[in-house]
Amino acid sequence: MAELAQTLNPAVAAPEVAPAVAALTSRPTLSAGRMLRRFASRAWLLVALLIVWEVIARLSPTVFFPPFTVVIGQFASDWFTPDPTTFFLSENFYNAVPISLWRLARGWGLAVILGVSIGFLLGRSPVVRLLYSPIIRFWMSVPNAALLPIAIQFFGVSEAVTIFLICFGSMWLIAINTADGVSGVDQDWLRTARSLHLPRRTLYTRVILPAASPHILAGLRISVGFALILMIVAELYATTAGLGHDVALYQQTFRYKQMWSAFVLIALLGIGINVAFDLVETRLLRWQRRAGLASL
Amino acid sequence: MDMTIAGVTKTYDSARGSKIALTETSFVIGQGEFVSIVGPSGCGKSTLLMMMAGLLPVSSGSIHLGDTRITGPAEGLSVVFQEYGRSLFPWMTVEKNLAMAVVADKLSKAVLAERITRALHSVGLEGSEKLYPWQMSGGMQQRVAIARAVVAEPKVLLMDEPFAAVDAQTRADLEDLVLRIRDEYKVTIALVTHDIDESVYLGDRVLVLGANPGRVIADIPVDLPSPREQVETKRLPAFADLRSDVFQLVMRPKAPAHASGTVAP
Amino acid sequence: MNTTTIRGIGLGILGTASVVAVWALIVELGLVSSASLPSPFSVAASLPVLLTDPNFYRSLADTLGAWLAAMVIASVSAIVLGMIIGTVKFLSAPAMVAVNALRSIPSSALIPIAILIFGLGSAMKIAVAVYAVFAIVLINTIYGVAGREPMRVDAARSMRWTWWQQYLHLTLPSATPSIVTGIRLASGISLVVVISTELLGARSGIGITIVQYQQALRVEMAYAAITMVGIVGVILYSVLAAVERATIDRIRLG
Repeated sequence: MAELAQTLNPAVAAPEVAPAVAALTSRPTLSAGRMLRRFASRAWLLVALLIVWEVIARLSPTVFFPPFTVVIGQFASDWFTPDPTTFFLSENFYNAVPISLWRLARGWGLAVILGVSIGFLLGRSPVVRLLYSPIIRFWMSVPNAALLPIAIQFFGVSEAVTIFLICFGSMWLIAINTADGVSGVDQDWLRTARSLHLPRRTLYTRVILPAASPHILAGLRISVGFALILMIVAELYATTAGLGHDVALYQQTFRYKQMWSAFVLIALLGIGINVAFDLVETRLLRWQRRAGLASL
Repeated sequence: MDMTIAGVTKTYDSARGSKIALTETSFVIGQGEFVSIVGPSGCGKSTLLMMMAGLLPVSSGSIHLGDTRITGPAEGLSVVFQEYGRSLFPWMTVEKNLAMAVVADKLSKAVLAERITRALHSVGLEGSEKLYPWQMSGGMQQRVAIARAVVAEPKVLLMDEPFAAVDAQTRADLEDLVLRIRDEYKVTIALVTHDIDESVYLGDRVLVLGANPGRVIADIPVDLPSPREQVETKRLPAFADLRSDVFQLVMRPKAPAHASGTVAP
Repeated sequence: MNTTTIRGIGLGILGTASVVAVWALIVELGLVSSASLPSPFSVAASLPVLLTDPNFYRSLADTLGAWLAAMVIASVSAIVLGMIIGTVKFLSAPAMVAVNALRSIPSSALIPIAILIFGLGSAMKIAVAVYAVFAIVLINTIYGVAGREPMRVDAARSMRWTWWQQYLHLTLPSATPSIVTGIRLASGISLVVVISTELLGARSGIGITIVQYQQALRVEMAYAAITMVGIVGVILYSVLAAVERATIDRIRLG
């Protein structure tokens, strides 16, 4: 065994630096096949659950839960037409979806502006934060639906009610996340900025805002989902058109197939918004490396 | 008992193709030997150690401890990981951390208590049983990690860059501590490091690994007197020679080697 | 209590007082009709009336009971399921996809269905609330398990722990901070959802009380009840936030 102690591998070329660098800059090409396989490896559980839904619904039929395939059929006929001039989308679609999305955009957009501003103030000054966090927590604990009658009294039955409800319901979430992000900016960065005598405006836009952006974006992402829910709820009771209104209408007239088809559309909208957010977030936060959980 | 590594390779297959982390590696570690394994980044030294520990399967070849083939974590092997913060359990006291190291051996309470006391004494942390790791300094935590490894009274102690995360002064203390542990527990030690001085100071032998692909490029006996001492040993000309030999092998593998005891590439 | 906490509470009271002052000002100046927004004084005056009404406490107990039941059901099932999903490697990513897809339907939109299925009683409230928060606790549990430090897993394997020992001494403690955060988030949301179900059609609970006052045009009482709901929410949040902090301190994963 002793001779093994003096083993030597045959001469190999000296390690080159170039391949190491090349490994960092090259990126594996994702063929269509690979992307499809990755998609399938993640989506199979969802598909399996849908199949279970289908099977259960067929075995013990109930009017409340039509089988998945029936819902899909309804979905196709509700929201699509063979007419290419309208992008294959039906009249139903154009009656409900743009209105809802526009409300969502206005309500959430307003929430972002107000929420980020308030959050910024809260984050920069610990005193301000201590002053007003009880109030903010208070507003987050009050169910939006409780504000509905109050909102109607203020604004009358109008668009403003839904926009107010969406905005009020989501802005506190944004404010708190923004405050967390702003107050959590690395002290070293702040000291560096001070030693460079950066003007106020540059400090805010080039240092604090980017440093807080992961937190802010997290808040925005969560709040958009929340705002979607608030929009639906607000539309259930206080409107004459829109997805939420349609859902309420179908429930009141016992048209459950259409209701489920509307749910599927809402779910797809939610997924679509999340995907859009993913893309924006990845692009904006490329400088921040997150290991481990990023794969989830 | 000896630890035999025969014809071991490690290949990683992925959608992008195969990557060879380690090619045809063979060597034997005799009982009681202290082997330093040193090499540049990417040479597969940690991979090799993980395979020896049974935590990573070999792609080909075999590893034996005595007559037993290593196919998974085995009795008689203990591991000290690189980062104490990420390998100790912060929600357990030092005592509990150590006790959990031998939970598979089902020791009696008395034997367990005695082992823990002895292990803590050998690393200089007597009386710290009830402390939590986060209450201790980095050096102390790494001692706890070492104590945790020896409380099982292993035959072979495998250490993966155990001092990479501590400062230089603490590192010197810990190096001497490992030598004392080796004497007290009469244990075989394989220590992976990127620190060339450390590899020569501690080892009876230095295995030098090269990268691209990972492989053993030299096996150098260290003919320095025992016991080693941080100042006296490092003053010796033999130390300087060995050190520069290893340095050249690690940093410039194609350069001609010095005369003493090395093998030319 | 140290000076920092006292200072915090003091400032909180000050901030709240400033908002109330603005409220009072708006009403006094007649910027808004007192039919829609009563002055804080009349609301404050209504509070004692509210708090001495045994019906109020009964309703509150009803609501909190439904909330507690929903929390227990959702948490236990989500934690168990999340632990399983988190430890089985090939399930984690697909489960996240499935959960995210199914989350988009707001629980409030399902209230009419729930009423049809469960009637107007507590079962309906609990069902809707469980639906609303199950995903949050589940996702947080999966994250907690996935966030296990790989080096610790290696250490546990090298020490030849059994599967159960790994679970009890490694996976569970590692996941606990994340789980507690999830429960804290879920508690706030489930309270809001339970009250929403009451506002929109249940038979009993604090939400119904609010609606009744509104319908009887006793606006101050309605606001007083809303205020109490908010206060209960703040208390719950503070308690759970403190529990969360204590847990993170105890486990000290950092």
